[in-house]
Amino acid sequence: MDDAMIKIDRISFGYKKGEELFKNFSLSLNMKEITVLLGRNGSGKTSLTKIILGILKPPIGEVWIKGTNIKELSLGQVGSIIGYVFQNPDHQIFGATVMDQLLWTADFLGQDKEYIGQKANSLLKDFDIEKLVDIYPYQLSLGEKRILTLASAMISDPDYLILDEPTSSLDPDRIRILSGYIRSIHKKGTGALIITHDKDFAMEWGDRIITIDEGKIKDDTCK
Amino acid sequence: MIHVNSIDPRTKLFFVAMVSSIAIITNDIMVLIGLFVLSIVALFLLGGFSISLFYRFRKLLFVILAIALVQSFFTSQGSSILQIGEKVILTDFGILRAVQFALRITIVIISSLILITSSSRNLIQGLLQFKIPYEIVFMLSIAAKFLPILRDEMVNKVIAMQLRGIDFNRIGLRKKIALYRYLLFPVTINSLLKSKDMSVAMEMRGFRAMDGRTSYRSLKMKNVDYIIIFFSLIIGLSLVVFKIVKGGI
Repeated sequence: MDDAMIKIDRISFGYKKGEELFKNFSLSLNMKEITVLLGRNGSGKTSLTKIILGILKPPIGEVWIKGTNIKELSLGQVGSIIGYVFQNPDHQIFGATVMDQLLWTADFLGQDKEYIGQKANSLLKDFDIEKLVDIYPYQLSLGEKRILTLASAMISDPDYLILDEPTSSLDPDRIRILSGYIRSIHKKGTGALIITHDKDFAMEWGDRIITIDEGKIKDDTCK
Repeated sequence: MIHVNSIDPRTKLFFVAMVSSIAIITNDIMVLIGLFVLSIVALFLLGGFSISLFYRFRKLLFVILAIALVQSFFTSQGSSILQIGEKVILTDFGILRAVQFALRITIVIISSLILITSSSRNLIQGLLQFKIPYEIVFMLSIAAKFLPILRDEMVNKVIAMQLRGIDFNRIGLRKKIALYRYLLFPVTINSLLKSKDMSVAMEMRGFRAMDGRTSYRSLKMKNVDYIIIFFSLIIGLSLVVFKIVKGGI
């Protein structure tokens, strides 16, 4: 299925009967591209990411991840391909310490603990949160939690990233660190779909900028 | 159909307490069936009944079957309906006990649904006018509001776990139990943090700043309320007297 990481094919979806948020909506996202999704509050950005991941199931239309229909994949399988960072980082915090938050899945996924340990240390360094390693995650600021959940999503080396408003509540220094990290993984061939309200961030980092409004693509620009 | 707001929430509370109490103390299958019908009719008249209710209770069928088998297997009462060799599998007594249990649970749940037909603010006011301290009433209402929040949080956490690559269908029971530790720990901490934040927000809005809280709203009983309470009381007392006289209802 060509170079498409994610292919959304003529989906229709709504939360209420008779009120469709997406009607006959199609979109294709490339594997090695940074796509930025812009749109007003309530325009359907987060719903779209949930449809891509298979959390929301549209009654009409198909979603394909790396050529496989999402109906054939479990959430766990989707999670091993796509790293997702929620809008609310509290949903994704499980560990008793920052380090535990990065490592806790190793036992369940049968990962090599030495490799995962090294990867965790490298991520802590990349995101400049080494000093927080023994801190309980609920003591962190919202921005620090957001960075931690991004690091957690990266621990399993996903092929693609979906970030829901990653820059909100981040200070300029952390936005710079986040941007630098996205640039480095992009160079290695990892694509991303980033939802943001930050137009400067979108213009600087997006290979493709899509604006949606009321469930329709209003603008789709490639750099 | 009775208008939802025309019945005082205190009347509903009294009715629910009466029906649920009788359902728990009685063993008579006819009384239980009567209470079941009464609850359904009351819920229908108050506009809280929907046919999907029965669909939701379908899981109770498995519970009835399980209780019927356990009661038949471990008690010697009743006559055998199904047996394999010498071992009795199902008796009429077992089936009766299972049906009694199912009716009891259903009556308590359906009658409790009557309370949902009142707004939470009116229920709080009703309890306050029953002279229950505001702090306790407020705690009850907050606990009820927290339940859907907790449920949503659990759902989100399970999704987030799966999105870290964990496939619930492919891991063993031991690992599944270990996963619940990672699930329950943050949910508990989050609830504690939320309640702490909420208590601060409430203090900021002057909760308990002064003694003798007054209410803008005031509930007033109507004739229909007194009639419902009177008949509920008569039925309840009759059954209790009947139980004392006959030694079992």
